[in-house]
Amino acid sequence: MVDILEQSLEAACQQIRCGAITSLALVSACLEKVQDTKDSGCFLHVSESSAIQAATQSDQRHKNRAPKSILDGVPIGLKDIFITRDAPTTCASRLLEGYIPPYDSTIVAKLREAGAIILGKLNMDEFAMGSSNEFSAYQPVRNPHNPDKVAGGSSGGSAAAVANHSVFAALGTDTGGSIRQPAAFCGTVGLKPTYGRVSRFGMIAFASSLDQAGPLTRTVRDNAIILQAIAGYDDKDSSSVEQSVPDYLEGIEQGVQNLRVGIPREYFEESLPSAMAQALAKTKKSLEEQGAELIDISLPHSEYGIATYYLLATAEASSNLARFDGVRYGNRVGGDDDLHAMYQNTRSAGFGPEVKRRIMLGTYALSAGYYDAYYLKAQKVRTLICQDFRDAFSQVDVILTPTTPTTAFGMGEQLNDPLAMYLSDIFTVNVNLAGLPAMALPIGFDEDNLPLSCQLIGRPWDESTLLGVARSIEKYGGGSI
Amino acid sequence: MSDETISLNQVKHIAKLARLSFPEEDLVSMQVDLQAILGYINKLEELDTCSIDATIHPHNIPLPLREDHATPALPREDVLKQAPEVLANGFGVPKVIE
Repeated sequence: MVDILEQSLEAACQQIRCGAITSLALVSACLEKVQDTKDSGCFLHVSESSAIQAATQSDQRHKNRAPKSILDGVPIGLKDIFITRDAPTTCASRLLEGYIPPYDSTIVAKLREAGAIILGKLNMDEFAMGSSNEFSAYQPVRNPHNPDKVAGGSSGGSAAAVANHSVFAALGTDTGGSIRQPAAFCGTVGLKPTYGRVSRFGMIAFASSLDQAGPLTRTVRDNAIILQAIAGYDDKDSSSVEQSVPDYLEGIEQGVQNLRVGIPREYFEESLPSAMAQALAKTKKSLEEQGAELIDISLPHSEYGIATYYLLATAEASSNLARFDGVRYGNRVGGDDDLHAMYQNTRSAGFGPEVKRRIMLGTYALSAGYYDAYYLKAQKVRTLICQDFRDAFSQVDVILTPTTPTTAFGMGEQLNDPLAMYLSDIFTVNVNLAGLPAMALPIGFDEDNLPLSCQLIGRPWDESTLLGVARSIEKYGGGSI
Repeated sequence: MSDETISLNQVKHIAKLARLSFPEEDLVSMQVDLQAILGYINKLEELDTCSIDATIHPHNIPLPLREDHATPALPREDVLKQAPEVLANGFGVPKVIE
């Protein structure tokens, strides 16, 4: 029964379409796998009955030769940050325990419209704040390759569920690396689209100028298929941008002939683990052999990314999370005769330690007397970081870097050192600050059998080039060592 | 912002602004954490940004305005279903005005 879960999403779609397998059989196999891998902590909610019902309806549509789309009948998972009208949405926080929203987020509505089966809601760091998934208020997510290692975060449940074959694809969100870093740690393909490419409506906001949703999958082509289903302008999200959406599978096999690949010297430090450095070197060589030109470039303000990011993201978060006050949704705690005491009690009991730390930092950065020194300063440095990328993309078509400075670290290893945890996003945050598309792609394993990953960064709106380069790396064995 | 230290009283003040409360020992560890993070953030001081504009939106695209048409909102009973307290067909809160 487990065999059917080993195939790609694209192969599963084809099998359903030609009648070789039913959606119900796929959903049943996935549910069994979810049960078998329960200790990994991937799921916060399993939508068993609604998934079975949706699969039965999908099978009927296929029988009538009227599938809704290529995705009709395939089980997928959603990070628990996406609002769903028929399942609890907690953002892995106690504050929202049991909350069932009254509507669907735009991308959930799009996936339902495409006939995809939503198998359940996936674990994450509370309110997407964390890089290890240990800040979930419910349980941590364990790395599918080694349970003593973290899955990464904040979309750790999404990355691990795809890697352990519980679902064929998952949706995650990425504010500073939250799709790409767990994808790297778990050995999956993770894409953060251009800021504005995918609607944020119904996606619980962390940092509104940085947040973007995207797919985690086992293959590059699968990633293109999911992106196709969720991309596009949404008039319910004023930050989504009216840009035409190309066919992401068309041209994905075209190769990298004459493509200029930038290698930023700031991202290839001597401190990279040797297996990672070797895999990256092999990836570069493979691109060169396929006809790409490698160009040495510089992104001089890269080292200021983490400081800039943690000011802007926490400032925006402190404002966004003001809505969790125990009035309209979520759990209220005490203070029955005093409104301010009620706010304070509700928030103090409902938020976990990392969320509180970031709200405090953001509130400080925005408070009287500090706004210019911190928030405004960070917005100006953001301009310099954006300019670095603009300069680079006048010389190259795509940029290649490592995704993370290390492979998956040990459970508990960085839990009490917030700054060390923040620095694990050092190669991913600048992309969010510049609003660019980027993807994490597996390039083999190290000597401890932990996945290695490279990051590809593209021009705004040019996810197609990223997918094409990623497919070339995947096809020719990437940097597998 | 360099040499800025954050006092325990400041931590209490920020907590009040953020509508959060902490036991005394957590206030101290929060002070230590914030101090360490702000110490790192001071790195930005190395850069002269006097003549640099601030970036608010990465693509520098004007925000679109939607047509000024009324559209149906969610049904009231659906929205109130998840409220911690419902009062007079609205959200109930502790008394604000005597």
